[in-house]
Amino acid sequence: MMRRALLAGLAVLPAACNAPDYTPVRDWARTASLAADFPAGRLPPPASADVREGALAMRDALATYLAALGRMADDGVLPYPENPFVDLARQAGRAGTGGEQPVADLGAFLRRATRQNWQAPRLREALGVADPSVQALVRALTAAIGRNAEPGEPPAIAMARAQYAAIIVRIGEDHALLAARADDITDQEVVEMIRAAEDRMRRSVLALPRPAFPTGGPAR
Amino acid sequence: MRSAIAMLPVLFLLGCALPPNTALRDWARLASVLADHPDAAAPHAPAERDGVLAQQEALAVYLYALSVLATEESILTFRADAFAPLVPRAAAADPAAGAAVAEIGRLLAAARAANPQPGARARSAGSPTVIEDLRLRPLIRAADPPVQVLVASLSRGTAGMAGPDAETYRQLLTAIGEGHAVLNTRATDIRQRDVAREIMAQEDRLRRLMLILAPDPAVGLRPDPAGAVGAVVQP
Repeated sequence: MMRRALLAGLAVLPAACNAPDYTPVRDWARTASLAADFPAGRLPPPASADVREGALAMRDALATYLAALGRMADDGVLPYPENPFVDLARQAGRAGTGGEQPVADLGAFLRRATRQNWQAPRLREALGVADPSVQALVRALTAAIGRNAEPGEPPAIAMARAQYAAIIVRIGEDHALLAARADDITDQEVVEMIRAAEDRMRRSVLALPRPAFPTGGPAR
Repeated sequence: MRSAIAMLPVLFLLGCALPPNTALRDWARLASVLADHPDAAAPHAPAERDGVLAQQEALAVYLYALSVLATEESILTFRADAFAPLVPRAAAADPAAGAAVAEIGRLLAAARAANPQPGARARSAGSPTVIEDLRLRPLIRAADPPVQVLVASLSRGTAGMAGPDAETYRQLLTAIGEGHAVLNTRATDIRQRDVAREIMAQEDRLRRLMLILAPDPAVGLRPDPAGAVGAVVQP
């Protein structure tokens, strides 16, 4: 009897090795971070240098936050003992689309998560805490991208801008989905939704224009 | 009895030490993303162009479904009514491809019907019923002929095109066809580490081509960048 109980205990132990699997969240966050990092803020010609600088700061903040989320989902410790976005928040404000507050809030969130040692067990909570700032940041960034567009710009640039704006909007939607389904985020059904979101993100990233080779100057 | 106890450490190793085997899933996901390349259909006459697009979409849908089924006991989404229009569209360009698309639709509908009940595994701990996912291997074997037909038809469809991008897309189709042939011959041992390494080598081939395939803005500007894949096999 005793031995049987012992055996059963041993047989159950391997199951204990399986911590909740957050790899779908991690993979989505990493792909989204990569997508957000597209240098669309630099697209010529900028309608205004201030708007461009602001959009670049918001882009950096969003990409950094998403990378940090991926790290947390992978049970990593975050490396931000101080708010990393103090300067970025000021710069984001230059766009005039209300990007300063959400960037500062995300920086404060990263600082808090680092100081309190948030890892995978607090991922679900983190998604809910950060979601309002992410949504506000997405709104501010899309507004800045739109404000920087010019009616007469070349079609290739208008197209790249539209693609990038669509990616930012989708990051907001996907993040809202993660926050809404945080409680059952490891359910097979939700996992498939997150994987599908990552698949869409990958397709969008691959469709973004890549910098062309510099056309060589006159031969010397 | 003693040997059963001796086996336990081995169980621990299986449970903890090996990294998850995601080779098949990664290959299929990447192949699905790359197969969907509307640019490659651009130079055709409108009717034929639509047929080529439908073939691309059917291939991408199947590959995405394969990536879902690569995880055992996963829940496959498949909307047969969204898939059905692809059959006549593909047949308009090539009747053989139309038949292949119809066959893929039948196979995916059957795989969807075999979805495990949600929570079946959790309940099976208390009952003698063992949940076994037997969908993957038969699907790979049954789908190989139609996949090869689609790959060949799509390659012929781009034959008239010149330019580096058409050439890259042709190489890509060849790589997908050969990759699927590897899955087909190794279907029995599809979960072995050795086979996983072979599949990874196939994925590596796709990744190299991915870097030189020209970006297709049409994909990024669609309301859903996954297009037909999103409509048919994504939740």
